[in-house]
Amino acid sequence: MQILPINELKAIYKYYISAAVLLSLVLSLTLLLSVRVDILSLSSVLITSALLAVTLRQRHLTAKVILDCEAFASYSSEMQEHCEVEQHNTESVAAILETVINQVYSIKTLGNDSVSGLTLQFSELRQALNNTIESARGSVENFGDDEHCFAKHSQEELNEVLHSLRVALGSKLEVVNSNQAVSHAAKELTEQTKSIQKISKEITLLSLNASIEAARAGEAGRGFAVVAERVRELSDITSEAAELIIEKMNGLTNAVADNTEKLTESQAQDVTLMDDAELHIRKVLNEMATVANELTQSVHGLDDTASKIKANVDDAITDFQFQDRVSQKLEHICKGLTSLVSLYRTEGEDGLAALQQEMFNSYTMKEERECHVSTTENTSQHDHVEDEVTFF
Amino acid sequence: MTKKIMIVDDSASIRQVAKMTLLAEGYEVIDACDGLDAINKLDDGKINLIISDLNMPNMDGLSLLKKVKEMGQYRFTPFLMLTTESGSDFVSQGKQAGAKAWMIKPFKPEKLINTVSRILA
Repeated sequence: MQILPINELKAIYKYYISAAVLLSLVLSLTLLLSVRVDILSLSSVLITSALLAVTLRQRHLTAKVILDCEAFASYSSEMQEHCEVEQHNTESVAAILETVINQVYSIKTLGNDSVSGLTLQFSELRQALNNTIESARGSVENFGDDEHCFAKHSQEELNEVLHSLRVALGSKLEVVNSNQAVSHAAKELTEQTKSIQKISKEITLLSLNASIEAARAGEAGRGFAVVAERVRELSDITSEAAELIIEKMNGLTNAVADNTEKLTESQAQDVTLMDDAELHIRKVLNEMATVANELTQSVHGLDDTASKIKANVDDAITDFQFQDRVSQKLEHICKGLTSLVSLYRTEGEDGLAALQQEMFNSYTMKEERECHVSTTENTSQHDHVEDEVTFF
Repeated sequence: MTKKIMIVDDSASIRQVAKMTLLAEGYEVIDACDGLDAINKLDDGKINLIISDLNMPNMDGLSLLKKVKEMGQYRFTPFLMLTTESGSDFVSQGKQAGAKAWMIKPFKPEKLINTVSRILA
């Protein structure tokens, strides 16, 4: 709005009106002074008077117009100032909105980066938990109810060792029994040898009698005397051999008896040791079974806890995905604000309805559209699928 | 043989969650940040499944789906839309373009695994 042309117009109008009034007065005065009263003069006087009246009236109107022009100029000036203020305000609001947009974008970027980092860390945490759970389950299988579990396997192995030791002890007992049998046989053999020795002594006695009888027979009994002598010698040898056998058999019997006694003592000690060892082994196995059981319970507890933590981490990871929704909503808000700034500068309020529809069309989420509809007078209908997954 | 899955999403956190979930199930996973990036990475013809977001810069999910269906070696590759968009008209567009399923974000890892298993069965 320009004020200068109105001022100029006012000055020019004032100038012309003043000139017309002055001219009318000069003409009227000239005609009155000429003292020529005729029709033309009268007409001129009337015309001049009318002109003067009109001029005076016009002057009055002009004064009014001038006053109106001044009021209009004043109003225009106020309006210009107001428009300047409005323009300044518009620019200020637009600048503030642009600042808000920049801040929202900054928040969006920051949020995305932070949540992306958190998601990565939680993903690694989830993987570590998976590994822990697998490891714990493996331990449970080793110590737990499985057929080949560590405790059961150890118990079976130690039972086999105990069984082998029992078998070894049984063999030792058989050796003792064999020794006793040998000792018994040696005693019987000694007795039989003594019988042989006794028979040998009787043969010696018989051979002496035969020698005597052969001597009585003279020359005829000489040969028989030789035989009797030879029989006596053989009997003596037999008796000496029997004596030697008895002596050796006694030594053998004593040795076997001594050996048997030691073996018996050793076996008794072995049995005691075996009983002690078995007792200790069973005690250790029971303790191991108890520890394994406790460990299994602990691992089960650890497994349960880890599974719960994993479920919570899964939920957290799922919740992190809401950052994607938040990010999209922020993007839509920023785009809406940017369009608002543009429209505010170019079309004023006329473009706001179109902007609202544009914003509505840019939404992807049901809650965005519902929120928009609830806060505006938009009546657009938009159907949504309810299922998480729709297979085609 | 290990199945290869491509994840296309402009959100790094979504890519991360989906990748972690599928890797844990033994799948081989590659990712792309938008449709254009995905097209550039679809060069060896050995992708068994494409999982894609809908709204992405440069090229959106529906455009990617249509482009993929025009590529000879990927004509029959199953396509799963994974998006926040739940508008039934968009779902219909996905179906018409040849998607196998439409899944709404956010997703539970188990739900994604079940959906992928069902598509690849």
